[in-house]
Amino acid sequence: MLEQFRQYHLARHQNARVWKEQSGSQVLGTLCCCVPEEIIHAAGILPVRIMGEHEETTEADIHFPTNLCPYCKSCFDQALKERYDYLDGLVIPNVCNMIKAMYGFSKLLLKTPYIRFLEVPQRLSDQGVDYFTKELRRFKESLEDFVGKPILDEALHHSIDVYNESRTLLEKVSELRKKSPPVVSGSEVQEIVLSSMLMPKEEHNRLLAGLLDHIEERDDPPEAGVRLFVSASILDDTDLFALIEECGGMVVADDMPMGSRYFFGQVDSNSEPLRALADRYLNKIACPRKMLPEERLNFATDRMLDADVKGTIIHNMRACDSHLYEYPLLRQQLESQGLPVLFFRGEETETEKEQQRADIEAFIEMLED
Amino acid sequence: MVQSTSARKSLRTTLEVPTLRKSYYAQTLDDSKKGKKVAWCSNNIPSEILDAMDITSVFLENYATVIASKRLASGFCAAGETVGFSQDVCGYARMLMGYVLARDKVPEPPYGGLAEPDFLLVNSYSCDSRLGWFAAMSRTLNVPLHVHDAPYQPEGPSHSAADAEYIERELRSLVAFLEEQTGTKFEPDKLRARRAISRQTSDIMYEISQLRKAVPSPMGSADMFTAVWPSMYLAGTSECEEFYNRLLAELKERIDGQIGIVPEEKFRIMWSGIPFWYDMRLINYVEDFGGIVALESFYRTRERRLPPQDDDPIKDMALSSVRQRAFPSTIIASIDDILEAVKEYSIDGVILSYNPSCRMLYVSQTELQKALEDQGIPTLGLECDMADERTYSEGQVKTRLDAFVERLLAKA
Repeated sequence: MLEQFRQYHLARHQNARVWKEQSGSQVLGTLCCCVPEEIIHAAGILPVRIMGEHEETTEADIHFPTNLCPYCKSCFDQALKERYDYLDGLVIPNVCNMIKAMYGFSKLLLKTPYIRFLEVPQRLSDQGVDYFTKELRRFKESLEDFVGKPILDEALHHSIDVYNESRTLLEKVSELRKKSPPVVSGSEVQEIVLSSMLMPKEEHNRLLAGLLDHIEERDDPPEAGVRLFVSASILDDTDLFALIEECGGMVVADDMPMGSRYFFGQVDSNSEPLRALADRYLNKIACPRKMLPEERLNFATDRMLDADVKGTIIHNMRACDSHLYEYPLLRQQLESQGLPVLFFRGEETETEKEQQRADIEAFIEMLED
Repeated sequence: MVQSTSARKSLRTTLEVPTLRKSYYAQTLDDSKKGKKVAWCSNNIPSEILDAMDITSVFLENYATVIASKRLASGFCAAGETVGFSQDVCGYARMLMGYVLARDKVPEPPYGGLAEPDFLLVNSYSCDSRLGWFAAMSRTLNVPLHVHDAPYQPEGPSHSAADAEYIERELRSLVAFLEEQTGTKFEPDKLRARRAISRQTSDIMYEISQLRKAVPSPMGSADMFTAVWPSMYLAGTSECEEFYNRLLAELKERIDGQIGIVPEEKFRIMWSGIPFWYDMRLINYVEDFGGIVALESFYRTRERRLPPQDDDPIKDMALSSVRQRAFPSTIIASIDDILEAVKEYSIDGVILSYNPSCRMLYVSQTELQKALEDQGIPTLGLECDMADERTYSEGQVKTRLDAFVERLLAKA
């Protein structure tokens, strides 16, 4: 059953095309975990997270300079190579320098029919929640125009329930990483999380609930390894987790936009739906772009201590400022609590993996001593 | 002994700026000694509000350019790197983090250093770097930080009530924070008066921008990169307005007398992006060949400021910022903007500075360069950090400039 998640992720473009053909509905790409997918889901559209590839960029190099966020550049390269040609739309949130710049570039260079910028307040405040609620209303209206039918409150409530169920299930399976002996590996959980950003939610919930019913009786549990935490600015595949496992480690908890930040915290299903969504997506996602260091560092450190890890691997994508500025502070805080840190400057290339292998092996060896 | 790298200026009014700047920094140190509250600010924090509340503002990006122009940046950046800030982060931030966290490792700071801050103010919308940088400083200096937010507005000016209301509430939060920090009550009349001066000054700057279209160029970027300083750091003061009135008069004088920057103007260049502060003489380099860097992408005042949008100055600020944008937001608007400038200012070629540590500008340069070349406008892309001269090779840059000049002369 675990293999189904992996296969879905690997064949994501083909799967989205098939879904589109079978459902007769639209597929919409999103960037970053601060886009409330529930509204897209309530419009009958399949939201899929845009991901890059570990391959050299070619098309994007014609339009962008060299030293940019490799993740954004890789995503755009994929789009220019028409790997995302099935998308009917794109939602680009105000989240970081590069992602927000991608809005203009997408309008300029892509043929995607619906490209919507989503304003997201960049600090936590009451007026931010009020403003974001209004922005989500504008977004909802724009989607209604796009699909040509209203998004009813009942549909929004239903979508919130479906997504809350998804978050509960993802939280449950990610907690199982912490068990000793392990029940599920970090890379397996990461495949489940990534596929949840691509697959129709109801189907993913059904598969995951089924998996959770039987996972503890599995006859092929993963091997135990040195318990590690991964903090990353963006990881859009499971390669680093798999590499850590190959080197004798295991990731038992994480703090990543394409990891636990995707399913952390629920939407209050008893409140007005758009306000409840604004509250969850603004206040409950611990992103260093809007949360100040005090709160962010305590959040990350508490999660690491709770996971009972021996060390932390921090992987920051080159040129990801929000995480680069946080890194020295986070490192200092973790080391002061006796948690060793290994840092990687991330690229989106094949060659980085072998360089990382030697460092991870040495780090794990040090932790085992 | 620090080697002078200042650009050679042609206008007498511009020569006033170093004195203004020096006295501004001396004043901030004096204010601090006298017990006035000092705010370390990022650019785009509305200094009129601080000024109206008698708070001394120190703009760190400006101080970073001062350090860089004195060729001290590498020492400051290296100090920032020793405390863990990657070479991938903004050169300005690395320098100031070095100053804050590793003061024993940095060279002697210009103007006797900075007045120590009572609190920090940063805007969250200009770039990720500022927020990360100020947040890190707040934690390490243990001083309060206020973050000021605003929407991105990629489609440019709008009449969105939601956007204006959000900005207004953000401005009121800023005022409330300042009142709490200083114990001073905000007085709208004082802000209104400063806004009126700012508006008049901005209109003068618009006229200056218009006059700079003249051939021969009455004022090149070698002057403007310096002359823009009062508008950024003395905004809303009569000292600032008077400065630009003098500058405007001097431009008119030069145009009436047909006085250009070079004896016989053969070609006009536009500089796109931030200059390399450690080698501002580069801006003058083309003058020996009859060329002039006649315009820079940043400091063109594109239109007259809107009249007051409301009697309440905070509401006016919010409405004005939604309804009028000083700079293009997206790559599409930036392409339109640069092509329009090339046409209006009779530009023959464009130098684009590729400065990886300022990502918001860096990201657009390739596409801008492509758009210009597609229109037959010769371009030259130079990739160097704006502040950290360790990334700079003077010889290589000049060789490439020579080839660019030849291309322009062949076309002239």
